[in-house]
Amino acid sequence: MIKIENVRKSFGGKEVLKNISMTVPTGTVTVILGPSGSGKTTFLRTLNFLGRADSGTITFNDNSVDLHNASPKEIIQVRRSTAMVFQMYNLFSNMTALGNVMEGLVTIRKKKKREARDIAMKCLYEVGMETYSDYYPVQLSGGQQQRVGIARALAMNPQIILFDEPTSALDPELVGEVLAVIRKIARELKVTMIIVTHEIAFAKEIADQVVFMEGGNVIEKGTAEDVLIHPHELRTQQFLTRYLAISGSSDSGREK
Amino acid sequence: MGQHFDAGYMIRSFPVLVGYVHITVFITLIAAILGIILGSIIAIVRIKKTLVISQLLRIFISFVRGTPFLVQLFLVYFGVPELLSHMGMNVRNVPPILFVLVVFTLYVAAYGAEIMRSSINAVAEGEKEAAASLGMTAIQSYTRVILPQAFALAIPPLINTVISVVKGTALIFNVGIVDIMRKADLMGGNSQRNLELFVDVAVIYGILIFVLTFTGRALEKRCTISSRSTQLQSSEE
Repeated sequence: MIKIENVRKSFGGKEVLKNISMTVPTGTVTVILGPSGSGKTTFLRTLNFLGRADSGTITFNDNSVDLHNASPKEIIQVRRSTAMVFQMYNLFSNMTALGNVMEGLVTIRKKKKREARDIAMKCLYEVGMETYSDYYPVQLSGGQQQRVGIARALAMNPQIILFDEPTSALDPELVGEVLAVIRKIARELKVTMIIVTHEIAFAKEIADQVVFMEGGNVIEKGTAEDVLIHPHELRTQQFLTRYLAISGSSDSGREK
Repeated sequence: MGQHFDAGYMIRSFPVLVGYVHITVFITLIAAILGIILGSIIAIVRIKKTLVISQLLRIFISFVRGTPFLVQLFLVYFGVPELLSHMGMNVRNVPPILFVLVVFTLYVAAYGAEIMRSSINAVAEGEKEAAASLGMTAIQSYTRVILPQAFALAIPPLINTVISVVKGTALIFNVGIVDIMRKADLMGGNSQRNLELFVDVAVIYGILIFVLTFTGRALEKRCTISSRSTQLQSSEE
């Protein structure tokens, strides 16, 4: 179980995260929804120390780390227990797809090349990219790059994978293949994850827990059914109504 | 024409002068390798904005870039031993080539530092974040992700700097080293045929620089995939 408590952060006097807490049970999927600027991405980044929170803690099992005052050693430890999938994929462009997935295993986990290659190929297979192992990122489509990005995260066998808007930069027709991969690893591999996304239909289908954020606050949190179908808060209802009015039909159409 | 230009003498002298080319090649190679390593370290220190050291390095870089090469050579070759002798150290027996190597290495380091600094900054920010979020240490992300890409981007300007080193070595006869230049000068003193000799010298330098340019192109080609993708990524953002 991963417990995140009291995360606060300000940028230049403006409070963008106001005391965010959530608990993510092992093997479950938490989806964070909310309008742009609500602090979703900022929150996710503080968990991986890509941004430094002003206060807050993250607890893996019984091991707590202060999100503000962590030592460099603790930071590396947290980063090695988590994995991030980025909006812009951020694959290492000097390495092939296989190289990208092997990199963490060889450099960080100090695994033998052979063993790393086997694990990496298995992960590429999980995301359906095994035939592209020798391709460089520049030779792959956005959807393919993102699937390699997911394989890179999977390979590290982290306690949790953090997805930062994994499909926002993709062409509409490529969104489906990436969501299919996320769905598959959630269901078959029971990977614990937090997903920041705008894909509401996808959230409905996959989330064990949905967190609705706005203006740096958690407005509402609960099961997908509670939050997305019978929201209690007015603000959540407004957001969902507006969102569905704009993209509801195409949104569900994207899901295959 | 024969009187004015002795082609036979030019051809006969060519191999004699080529016999001294190893000095130029040796200095260039050592200065390029050490200078690029040192320059990369300087670049990283400057990017990290390490207090004081970063400022001192900036002064060092503007000094190297802002003074003539011959002045730097004389400062190190004549100036430094004087300073050291006041401090009770005698470096008169140190072979001059060592001073030359120091000067050229610092020269490449100063220019290389600026080149590497901009190339490191050109590596996509997202990839640096991806390296960090995997749990890499700073050294790991530099050696595995950032520097390989930065080098690919830096190859053309670094080759230019190395070319200036090759050309700069034509000045080292001033501190008593016999290289192609000095040898041609000496031979000219005897034969009174400077034109032929310096045509030879020009051809030798031309060939050296042609080989360097060619090697640079080949290296650049080998690294195309990574450098091209870096450019693509940054233009996408």
